[in-house]
Amino acid sequence: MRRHEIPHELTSAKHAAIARFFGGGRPAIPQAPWAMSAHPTRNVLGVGIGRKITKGRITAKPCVRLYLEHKIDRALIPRDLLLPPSIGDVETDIIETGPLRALAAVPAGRKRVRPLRPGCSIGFHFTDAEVGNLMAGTLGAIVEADGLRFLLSNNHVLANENRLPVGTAIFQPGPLDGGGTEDDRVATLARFVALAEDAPNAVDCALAAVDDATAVRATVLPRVGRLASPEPVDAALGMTVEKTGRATGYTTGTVHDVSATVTVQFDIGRLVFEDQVLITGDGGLFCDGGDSGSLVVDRESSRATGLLFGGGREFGIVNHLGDVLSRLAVKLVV
Amino acid sequence: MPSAKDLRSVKERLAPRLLALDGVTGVGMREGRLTVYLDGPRDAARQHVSALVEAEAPGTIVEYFTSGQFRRVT
Repeated sequence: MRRHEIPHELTSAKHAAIARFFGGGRPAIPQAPWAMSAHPTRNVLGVGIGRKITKGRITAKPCVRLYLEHKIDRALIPRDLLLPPSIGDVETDIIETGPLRALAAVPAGRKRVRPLRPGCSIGFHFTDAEVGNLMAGTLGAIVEADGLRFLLSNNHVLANENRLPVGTAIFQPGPLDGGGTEDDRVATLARFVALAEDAPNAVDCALAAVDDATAVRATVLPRVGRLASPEPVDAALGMTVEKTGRATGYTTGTVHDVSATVTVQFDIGRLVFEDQVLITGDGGLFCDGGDSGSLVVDRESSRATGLLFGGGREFGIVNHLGDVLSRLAVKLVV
Repeated sequence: MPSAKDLRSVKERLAPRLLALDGVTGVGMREGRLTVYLDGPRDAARQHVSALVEAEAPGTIVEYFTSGQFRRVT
């Protein structure tokens, strides 16, 4: 069915749905970022026309599609907020889309960055059965030990979850962002804290020794900028933080929990992390796939507080930076 | 409100059992309350969590948050 072939009956039903769910405008109700709303004027994000999907199969029956941010169990929804099974004589079909948002411009950190700066894309080439896959994470910080300079990021960004040997080449940008040639090689995997599958973890971190120490700068890509001190600051509830990552660029957030024990899905399994910092984004996502390794910085003091490695729909998960630095026996370079 | 030390003790003691419940993604502490993170609106998980906390640490206030599943972000 092409757009100009849509029967009038369907178009009318669609317009009726639009008037019903969007007609009064979106209510300016502040909503807790961890909550879901069953109210149709909040949960219905789009209205369209298509063929009804029943038990996963597209049927011949035309319908008005209601695109929802969250599909919520009917039993949990107050009766007066239930979505109608039909509009006029046209059946409705409910499809969960998750939140819809404008696609951000490609952050500058995904491009080639010289000198190297925290916030840019980095990564490795997969080996063995994973050859052909592409990845990219974020360079978190420049650190030093024994007069040598290293790139700090996550184990899963530099060491592929314990699976890469020391000496593996690290590229900027990461292969998913078009890097990966010999010309893009910037460092070699130096050491990592192994991720444990059978015991709680505290950190997901690794170091890569830079090939050319003169080709790195410690200033985090805009807008985080230069850190005020090499000493990290402990995360505190309500602290406002910022980060620059390869996927979502610069974002800000608020510390929600400083001692969370969480289960996080990795390739090697569902791992437990103890005493983690949880962060909610200010007005949107704090992080997304590709931001792993980002340095999280206290906005007030401009001191670093954490290393981002995981997240969910509403929260970013961050290692306490003090734990990271002590486990790797390194100091931040500012 | 329990002291931070007492709450931390409750959290550390109960976290393994809470995380073993279907739908529980995390356990933390915040403003004198135990925080429990769920992968969705799970009534059964809430009931199990409440029963466990009440039995093991009576009087502890539990606050629930929907987190979705946690995953690494690369």
